[in-house]
Formats: sequence, structure tokens, C-alpha cells
Amino acid sequence: MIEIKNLTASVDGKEILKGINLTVKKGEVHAIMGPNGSGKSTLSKIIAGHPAYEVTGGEINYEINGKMTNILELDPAQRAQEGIFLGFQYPIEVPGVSNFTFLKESFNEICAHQGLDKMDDENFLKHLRSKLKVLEMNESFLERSVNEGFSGGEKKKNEILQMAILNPRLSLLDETDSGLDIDALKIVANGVNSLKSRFNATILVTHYQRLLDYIVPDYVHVLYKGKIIKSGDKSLALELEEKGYDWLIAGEK
Amino acid sequence: MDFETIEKISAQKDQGQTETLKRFHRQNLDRLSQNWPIKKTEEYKFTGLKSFFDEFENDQSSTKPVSLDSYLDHSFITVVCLNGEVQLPVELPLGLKMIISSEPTDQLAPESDLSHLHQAMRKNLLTIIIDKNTIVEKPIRLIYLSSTSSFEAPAMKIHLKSFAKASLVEEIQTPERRCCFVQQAMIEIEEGAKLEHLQVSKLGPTSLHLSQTTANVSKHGTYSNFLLNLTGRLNRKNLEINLLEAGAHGESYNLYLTSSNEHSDMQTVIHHKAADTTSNQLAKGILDGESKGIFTGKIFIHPKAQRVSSGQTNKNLLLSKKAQAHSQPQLEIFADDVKCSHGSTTGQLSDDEIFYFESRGIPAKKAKTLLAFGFALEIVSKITHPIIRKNIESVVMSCLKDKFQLEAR
Repeated sequence: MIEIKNLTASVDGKEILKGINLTVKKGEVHAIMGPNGSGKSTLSKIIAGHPAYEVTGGEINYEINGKMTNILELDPAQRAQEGIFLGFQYPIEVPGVSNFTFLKESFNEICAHQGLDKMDDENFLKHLRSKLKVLEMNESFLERSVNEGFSGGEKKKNEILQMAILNPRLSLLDETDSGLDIDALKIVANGVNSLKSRFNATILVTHYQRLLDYIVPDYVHVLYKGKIIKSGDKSLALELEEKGYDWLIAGEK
Repeated sequence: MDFETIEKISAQKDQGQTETLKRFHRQNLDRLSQNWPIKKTEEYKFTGLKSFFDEFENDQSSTKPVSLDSYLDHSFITVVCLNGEVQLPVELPLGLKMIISSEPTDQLAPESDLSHLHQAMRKNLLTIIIDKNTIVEKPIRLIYLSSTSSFEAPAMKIHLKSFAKASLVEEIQTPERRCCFVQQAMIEIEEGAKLEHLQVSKLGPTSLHLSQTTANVSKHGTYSNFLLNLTGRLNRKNLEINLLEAGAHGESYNLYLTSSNEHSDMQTVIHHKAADTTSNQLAKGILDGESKGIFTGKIFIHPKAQRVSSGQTNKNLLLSKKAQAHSQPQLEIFADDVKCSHGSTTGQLSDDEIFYFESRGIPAKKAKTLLAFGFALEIVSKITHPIIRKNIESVVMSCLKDKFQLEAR
């Protein structure tokens, strides 16, 4: 589904990613862990196309219509239309634009890209209601401005609601567990799990092992100073939980 | 436009009028001549009227017929004013009267060069009276149109008697013509009466619109004014709200959308002349190109006006590096027990906001439209009449699209 080759990137002249290699196949869940400042969030933003980062080398090949295509030339909206979704660590507040409008506009953009007809308000609302239920969200969320005045947990649920509506092929979830209490975490994890299929893939970016109790990864990668220094299965996450990062980092220093 | 041109236009407006009106025109011309060309004063610090009037040419050679069909909307009580001639509706609801006086020498605005200019050209006066306890459900819509490039001086007076309630939309539309509108409006709100009043300017890129609006609000009366400067080379609006007795409430909402070389200048004055009066003010601008937007908000709290509450906010959204926003709050408080606040911000659309939309498949251009619309919506949402609000929502959206070359919703 996605193949990252030797990816290097910088922001404001400072090199953050120093040669990332990562391959994710359909149906897989990958977790990227690592200490603060290791480049985890940067990696997910770059895949989504955030303009603040400059890709200085390497490739991101992503499957479009059955063909691996380097997506570095695509703008963020085009990448989203091709099924790449970024769940934000800090979802943006957008005063004056209702959640309903935001969801409908993005849904219709993606439909249009896939050559499907736009959905009218009434049918779209029906579609939305079923997803709201899964996330235990009240319908009043739809009338409110996007994320404005939402609690941390509500913002994260709203991200997963967007993911549920857009039905992406590749989901990048950046610290989706941060700011969630245990009940909200379960609801969010349940939402993510319900969207998993053998046709899509998920990359979880997280600090803590906690989330991985609920969304079980097939692979775990440790990112440190812009490089993947260790990969393994879910037991690696447990080992990190127990020992911390130091035993891995020691070898790198 | 030199003084000779003004005299010529005034003479045209004299045709077929009474001696009294001709004398009125002459008097105002005389007063204007003493100050011509109009000098730059503090009030017009950012808007040199002389240079705008210099741009204006009175060229009536080409006439394009105006189709009125598109204005036939039965959800409004529509009054069309075409080339200065007011066409009243055949039927009006009970308690609503409209009168056109042909000897309109009334004083509708404070004395100034601008009022003299208007009064030298004024042809008629539309007076709208709403009887005591009458609630006019349908909004009244007053549309000013011109089939030729021209100078117009519309004058309107609306009087709401005790506990009457109405909504009034005044629209100036000169999309393809070079026009200059110098307008005056006077509003009287009696006890407990309520008026929602929108003044919408949709002018062609070379047209000018200057207006003076004065509202007097009595006991427990409410006056809400919306100035919407959507397009036009120059929009200069003066608004004065006088809160005369206890319980009087005034609201002023301004929205200005400017691009290329457009210039919008709004000057509002709210006088709290009595105790226990309240006011609220919000002005928002979206500015692109090399355009300018000026907001001056004066609030006077007179010595006897205790327990007054008044709030003022001005927010500007700059879409280009060369656009300019000037914000001048001026509060003069002569009473001691008052609650007064004001604030002003100017910012740009953030990259993070745009990226958030893009990451959901919404292209950047459309994201900007939605964000700009969201910014303007705060003003539009203050409109209480649902039909007007819906109408203005779509007008603002299509205007944003046209102006800032943003995509459709």
C-alpha cells in the first residue's frame, strides 16, 4: 500500500528525518513509537503533505489505481482524495464552519474524485448518524463549529468521525490517544477497529503502549533522531513499556 | 467631477420640480461652493473625497434597460427606485404606509459638505410609516437601480410608532454602471418599537456610494443596523445612533469585503444620551488585493447616562500583503457607572487551518472560501429575520467567490 524509501526531510533548514524506510501492506496495523522529538509526528505530516516540511530526498510510493506512485508531487487535498487520512494530534478549531458543512464538503470532494454523485443533505445526515452512534457522539456536534470549544476527548472523537465518513485506505493517527481518559480511549479504539479491513492499513503514532492494548499492531517501529532504529512485533511495545527507550538509544549514541 | 458638473446635475434634478425644491437645491449648492473642493478633515483622514469625486464622470450617454423581473420576490414587500423614481407597491399590508413627497426639504442628516451635496441633488423623499402595535411580517425591500451612469441622491425616512416591528433591506445595485449615490436615511423608533435595517451595497467597480444614516431610539426601542459593503470603488458610510431614553438599545454590524482597489470606510457614532441604554457593535472586514478597509467606531456616553453597557469589536482578515485595515475605536465616557469594552484584531488565514481542510480532501482554494465565509458568518448570523438571513447568506457567499476568485461551495 505504501513504501517509504530513504526519506529525508527538514523544517526551517533543520534535518528531522534522516532516511526513513518503511513498507506497509494492506490489512496491516503499524505502530511508530519513540521518545519526544524523534520525528514521529513529522513523518505522518509529511505523508499527508504538510507544506511546512521540505522533503530533501527519497520517495513515498503509494498505491493508486493498483500502481505504486510517488505522491510527493501531489498536494495534500489530492492525497486525501486518494485515501490518505491524517488524524491530528491537535485538531484545528475552525470558527464559523459547522462540523456538518466540513464533513459534507470533504465527503463530497472525495466522492467527486471517485466519480460518484454528491449526496444530498438528508441522505448524508442518515449516513452520519450511524457513525455518530459508534463513537457515542451526540448529534448536536454537527451544528457546532469544527472543534471550537470541544474538549480534548471530543476533538479526538471528531477526528475518528471524519475518518469513519471518509473511509480512507491509509490512516495515519498521530497521538490519537493523548488527552483521552480510559472510557474515551475505548470508544475511539473501538471506532478505529470497526473501520479496519483487509483493504486498508493504519499507522499509529504513539508515545505509550496503552493505545496498543486496544488497537493491536502487527508491527512496531522505534523512531529515534529521524531514523527507525528497531522494528519488531507487538512484543517490542511491551518491552519498551517495561524498559523505556534507553536500552535502544544507548546503542545509537 | 468639478463644481460645474455638480451644478449641471443639480439643474437636471430641478426639471419639473417646484420652486421650493429648486430654491432648496440652490441654497445647498451655495453652501457647498464655499467649501469646494471638499477638504480633507479628521473625519475623512483615510478617504480623500476629492480624489474619488475627480474619478467620477457624469456620462449619461449610454443607457442599458434594467430588467426588474429578478426583483419580483413575493417573500418581500418590494419598492424599486429606478433612476431616482420611486415605484411603490400597489398594495401594502395594514398599518404600513409609504408616501413620496415631492417637496422634500427635510433635514435628515447633520450639516456637512456631504449633506449639502446630497441636498443639492435630492429629488424626492420616501417616507415609510408603521402604525402603533403593527408588526410587519414580510421584510420591506428597497432596491435602488440605475439604467445609466448617473448621480443619485436617494432619501428615505422610516418612522416606527410605539411597539411596531419591521425589517427593512436597502440595496444599491449598479453592477455594470458608473454611478455615484449620495444617500440619506433617517430612522425614528418610538417606545418599544423594533427595526432591523440592512444597507447593502453591490456596486460596479467604478461606482461610489456615500451615505448618512441617523437613527433616534426612544424608550425600550431597538434599532439594529447592518452595513454590508460588498463591492464598489468607494463605500463611505456614516451611521449615527442616538439612544435617547432608558431601555433604548442600538446594534451596529458592519461587513466589508474589499478586493483590488476598493475602498471601504465606515464611521459609526453611538450616543448614549440617557441612563440604562445599551449598545453592541461588531465590524468585520475581509480584505484582498490593494484594497483598504477603515472602521471608526465612536461611542459617546453622556454625563447623565449611568448604567450603560456598550461593547465594540472590530476584526479584519487580510488575504493579501498589500491590503490595509485601519481600526479606530474612540470611546468618550462622561459617566462613571458604565460597562464599556472594545477590541480589535487583524489577522490572516492560518496555514494550519488550510492544511486541515486539505487533509480532508478539500482543495486550498475552496478551503479559503469556506474559512472566509465562516469569518463573515458571524455578522450574517446576527440577522434575525430568517428570509433576509438566508438571502444575505447566499449573496455573501457568491460575492466572496467572485471577488476572491474562490471556488463554489
